Amino acid sequence: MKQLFALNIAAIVFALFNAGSASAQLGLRSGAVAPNQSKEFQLAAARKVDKLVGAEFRRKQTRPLPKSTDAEFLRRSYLTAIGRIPSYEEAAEFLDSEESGKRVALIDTLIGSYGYNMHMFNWWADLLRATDSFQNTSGAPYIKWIKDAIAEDKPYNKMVHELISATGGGWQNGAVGYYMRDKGMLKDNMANTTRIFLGTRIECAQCHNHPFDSWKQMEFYEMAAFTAGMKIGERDSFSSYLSDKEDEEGMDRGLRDVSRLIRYAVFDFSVADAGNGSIKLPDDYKYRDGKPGERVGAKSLSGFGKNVRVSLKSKAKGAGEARQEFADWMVSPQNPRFTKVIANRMWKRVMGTGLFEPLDNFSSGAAPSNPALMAYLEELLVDLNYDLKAFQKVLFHTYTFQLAPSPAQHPARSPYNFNGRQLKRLSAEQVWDSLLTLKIDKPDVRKGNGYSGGAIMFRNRPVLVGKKTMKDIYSEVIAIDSPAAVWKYAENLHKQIKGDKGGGAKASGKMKMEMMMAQNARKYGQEMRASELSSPMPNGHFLRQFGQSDREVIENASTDSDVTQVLSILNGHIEKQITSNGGSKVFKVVNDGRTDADKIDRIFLSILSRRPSEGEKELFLNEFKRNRGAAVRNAVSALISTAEFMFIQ
Amino acid sequence: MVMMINKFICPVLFLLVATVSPGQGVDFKKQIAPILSSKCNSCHTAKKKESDKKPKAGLALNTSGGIRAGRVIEPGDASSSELFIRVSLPKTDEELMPPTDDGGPLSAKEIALIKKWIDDGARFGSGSGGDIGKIAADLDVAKVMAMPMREPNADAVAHLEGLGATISQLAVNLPQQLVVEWISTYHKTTDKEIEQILHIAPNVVEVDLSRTKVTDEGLKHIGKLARLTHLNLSRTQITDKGLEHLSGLRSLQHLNLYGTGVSNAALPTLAKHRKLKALYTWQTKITADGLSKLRKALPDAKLVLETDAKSNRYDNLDNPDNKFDF
Amino acid sequence: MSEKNLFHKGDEVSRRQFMIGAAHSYLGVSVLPMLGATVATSDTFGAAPPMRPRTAKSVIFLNMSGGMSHLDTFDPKPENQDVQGPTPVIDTSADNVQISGFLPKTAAVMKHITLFRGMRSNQGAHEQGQYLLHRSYAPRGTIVHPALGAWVMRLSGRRNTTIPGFVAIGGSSENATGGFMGAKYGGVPLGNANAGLKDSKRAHSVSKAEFDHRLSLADKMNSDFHGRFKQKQIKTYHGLYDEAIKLMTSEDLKAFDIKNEDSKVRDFYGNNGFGQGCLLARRLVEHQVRFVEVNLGGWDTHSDNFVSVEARCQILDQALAGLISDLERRGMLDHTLVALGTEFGRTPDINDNTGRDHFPRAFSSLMAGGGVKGGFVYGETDRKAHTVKEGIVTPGMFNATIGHALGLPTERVVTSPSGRPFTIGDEAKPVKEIFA
Repeated sequence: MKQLFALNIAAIVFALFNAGSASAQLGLRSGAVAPNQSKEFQLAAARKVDKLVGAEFRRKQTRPLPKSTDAEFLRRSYLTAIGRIPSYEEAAEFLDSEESGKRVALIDTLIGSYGYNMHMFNWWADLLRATDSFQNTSGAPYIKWIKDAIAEDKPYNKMVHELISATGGGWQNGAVGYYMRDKGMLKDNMANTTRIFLGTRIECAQCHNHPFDSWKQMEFYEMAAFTAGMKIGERDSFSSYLSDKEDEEGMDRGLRDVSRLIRYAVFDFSVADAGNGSIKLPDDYKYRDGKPGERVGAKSLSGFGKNVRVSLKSKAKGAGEARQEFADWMVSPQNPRFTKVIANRMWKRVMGTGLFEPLDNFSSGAAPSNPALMAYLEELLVDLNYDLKAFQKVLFHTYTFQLAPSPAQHPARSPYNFNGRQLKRLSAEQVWDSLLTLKIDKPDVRKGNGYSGGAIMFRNRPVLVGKKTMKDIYSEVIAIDSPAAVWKYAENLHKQIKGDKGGGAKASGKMKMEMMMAQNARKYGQEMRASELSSPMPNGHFLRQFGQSDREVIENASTDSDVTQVLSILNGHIEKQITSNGGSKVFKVVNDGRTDADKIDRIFLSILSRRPSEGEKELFLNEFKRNRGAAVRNAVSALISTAEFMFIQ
Repeated sequence: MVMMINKFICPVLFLLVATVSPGQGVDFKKQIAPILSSKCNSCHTAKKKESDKKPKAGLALNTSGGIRAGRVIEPGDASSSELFIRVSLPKTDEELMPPTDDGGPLSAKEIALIKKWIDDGARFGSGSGGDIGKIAADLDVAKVMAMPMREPNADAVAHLEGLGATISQLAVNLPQQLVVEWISTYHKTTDKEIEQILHIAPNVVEVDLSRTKVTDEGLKHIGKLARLTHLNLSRTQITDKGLEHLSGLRSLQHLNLYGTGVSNAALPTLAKHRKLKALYTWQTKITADGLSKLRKALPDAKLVLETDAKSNRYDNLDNPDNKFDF
Repeated sequence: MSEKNLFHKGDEVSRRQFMIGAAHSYLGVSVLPMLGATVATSDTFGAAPPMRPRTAKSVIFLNMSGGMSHLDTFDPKPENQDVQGPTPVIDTSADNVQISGFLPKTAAVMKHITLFRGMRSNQGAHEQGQYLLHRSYAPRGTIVHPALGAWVMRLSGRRNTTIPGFVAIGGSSENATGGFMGAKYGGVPLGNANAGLKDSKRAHSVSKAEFDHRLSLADKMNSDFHGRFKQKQIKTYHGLYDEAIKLMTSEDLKAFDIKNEDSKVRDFYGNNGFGQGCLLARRLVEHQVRFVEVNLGGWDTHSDNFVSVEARCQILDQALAGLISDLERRGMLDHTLVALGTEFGRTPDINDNTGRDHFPRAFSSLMAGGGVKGGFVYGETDRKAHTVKEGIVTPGMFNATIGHALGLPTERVVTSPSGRPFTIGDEAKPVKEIFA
């Protein structure tokens, strides 16, 4: 075995995998100071990860692939960390740099940039099925809440706890969107909660004992008891009073819409607890461990740390207490599955393949392909205080991330040793955002969806800008104690909106910006990153065509290719927005080129983030000679049509 | 908690493929059929009579048509083909076929053969192109009728498919009875291609020649398909003369002549098809008067000239100037 | 039994019986089975053996979204004016079948139609009801079920491999979803009949020569990459370019362009979105598209039911009767199943706004062509159209019946990626009585 390594031309990289061990001990488990802030800690942790990956190579006698080229690393890092290809300038700068630490520096820059937040939002939106609206109510506060959590790098365990225990009005606490999303389907919500955060699927047990593993229908109901009795929406009598008024003959349509806005935003948009941690079994319950219609107390799934349960005999539980306990149990360090699932999700996000897959089907028995590595990642995440940004940084800094792409396709869902990243088609958002990079300068600037959080959107237009926000409406209305008085309030508000001449002199800078962002989506629909557009985009839109999640079920994004996508590349969106759009960024960049060779360089850097090979240079020099006028368009179209463009290497 | 082995993992398999030499084609009849016959067909066989058990999962693996109709192979791609996936699962997987208590799993060699056969395109012929022989010059309807209705020659079917025909069997459990259509290739289908249908003459029960370039002359070949029950000639250039070639088709039940040059002169010929149950004559030169005469010869047949709506609201369409650019 | 006997058994022998008889005699006497082992040699077989060829090659599914009132369309109760209201009732071309007077043209083609008057759903809201109608399952937050068309694609594939096999015209594009089966089996949603197939034609900005030239450039670029990554996914991706070109150059692409139709034909179906959608559906089926859905909305008649339903019926009547009779004269009705469904009916009780509200307990749907009986009624409601007296048909049964007509194995279990088992009709059995 030793000889094998000695012969290995990639031994340099491999030496690094071995050498990591000594320094890896340094800086770990420092505990007291926020460890994630220290570069030394992160790099040492990265080496430790490499050592554990390397151990698997040694065990399986695998030669590690060589280190990726700068160009491969560049494109892979951009797409993985911030969700788009680098612009021409960004690519040229990195490739031309001769700094020795430029890879580490690039990762730090990318993860510190706003593009990271944008790309991370796509990931969260797919996982949480975050939508722009829940039936009638706005999803904007929820979207905003998620974006804020990413921006402030809220620790994952804190984030999950806030979601699961969320309560109050939507405009006060966006996190209630987690339950608003599944209004009327709380049992499904519980199945989803278990799947997202514990990587365990219990939905089958909702209707019958699980056929493949040991989940019993009783256990499902015991879990569902934690959230049973939650109330979504409040003061139904107020709501129906308003609704009756709206239906009165000859009702002013504007006033009717204002009343609706109030109903949807205040009375329909809140989460409150009325449950005490118990639930009734269904009327057709057919197992021996319970009777149809019998009431059972909440109990957490066994095998996930210290159980919590609610006894029916004790009357101590107040409304919602059970749900709080449930949230505590979920994120408890004693719940090993909680950490394992997110560590694996993050690993997959960075490395392209999970340590175990599927990510969310514990009972399928898929064991981590590298148990020691899995254990270390869990430990690391706890050490990092569930800081996902810092955790990902460590992964990006590994040599494992930097290996050349794997030439062979690994069978899906089988254990992978991470010898080189698997080729993977870009996600819908990555395709969209990369095309945007070819189309406009500074693609990561414009913000849209969710940032209208405060704006009162009346008939798709922001009104009372700088004077009043949705939050104001919520707190004012909720303080009113009779339905008739709310109607009065609606009449008043209607007058104000009618009389609103814009202006908003008193608007604070921040507020003005939010208003602006609310309008961005309307103005710049084709020129914003996917994360700033509607969530999800309507069916038929380019993003959906390329597999953006419809947000109906967890992680429903798809990277399957189909023929309509190719048609769109050849004849549709790409042809119209990029190739035949002389004003697009890529053409500006190319036109600045001095010689044909320079222009070809620029096309390659813009689209494939690398310089052309000799053969390619010759091919396109010929092309420039033959087709003077159309050569640039032809080259741009041809490069976008390659598999190289559509796949992350 | 019961741990299940991930069903998509089959590491052993990748080593096995090597045992089948890559250069050689797999012969379906000689190499694949015996595997299916001994290991699969006890459950997956088309019902032959009432008392037979139904094929499991509606999947009949005892005929090429059944295999195709069952949608268990993706020619050229074994790893996406259910047939291969299911036989190559680990022993512990509940989905493994054949089940362990019923002869499963297949041997490594058998699995490798199936993989190679599918990867090579899942051809049912001999694999070598096969010799389908010549069409006998003196073939006629009586000779065809006298031929036994065997499982069709897979090489002949492949040959015809190569000429743009779509060939399917009438039902999963009726593998001998074939439907021949020219679906996306009608615009380049002439008498020459159509003649090749005679290679499977005893098996053909339905033919769709709609919009093809078939001529009166070409109908000579169709006239030999003794067991034909359905014939669609709509929107072709055939005329009364061509129909005469069909007079030996005694089992013909459905004849679609819509949009052809057929006229009342063909009615005596048509009257000979005593089994005829439906005749479509919209946009031909056949008239309502003519049809009412035909009615006497074929009292129970449905004779469609135009829409059969009671109140003739749609007569404005019965206009010879109406042109269609299909 | 010899062939000779079979052929002289009489004209009334149905084609199917003939086929079955033939199969048996050949199987019994002279068939040499391909695989050898398991062919029966018995010559005993029953009078009505179960082997049954498919009766439909294609399906046109007409989706009445919003909840079509059954009393005012296909299940009138003239003897009970309090539930019937002002909607007139007429005789049809089928004996003893009466329908709403709002549908005179449909009445004329009733002899091709099987009515289902015992439809029942358990979903009373539009979204959920439409979901159940299309997918046989109630919506769940944990899975997306495939639409019926996707089931058809999965279980039988495309007939014409150069164009899509599943197309949905108008309505929610959710109705074209492949669900857990993936986009591969999903349909192509068309906003409206005039829109054509998106991006299937070369952009005006590119000449044919330029287009080909660009592809050849891309091809040269690809060869290096493909050499380096000999992977199935890369091969597949490249294959899609071939398929796209095949589609762009397909003779059948023009099926999507209803402008090719004579204006008289266009009027024949009604000059509105639904009518033109039905016309497009006919064109697509002519080109062997397997499953086409056409949507007609606006049936949610909570107020002014009678005025609104009459207006809807004018559109429906022209298009439905037009479609059926056009298919018939072209000889296509025999093998094309026209199915009309809706998510629920409307309350027999007329509300204060002269409207009718949602009513999933009893409603109507229909099928025509594709081997179903003509002038036949399956199921019956009570005298006030309030509940199903007999012949209950759920959306799952309706969908299984469509699958049955296509000759699909309706009992075939398809497993979702998460390992859950599903069937085309949620284990419901097809209604076999409606087939001729």
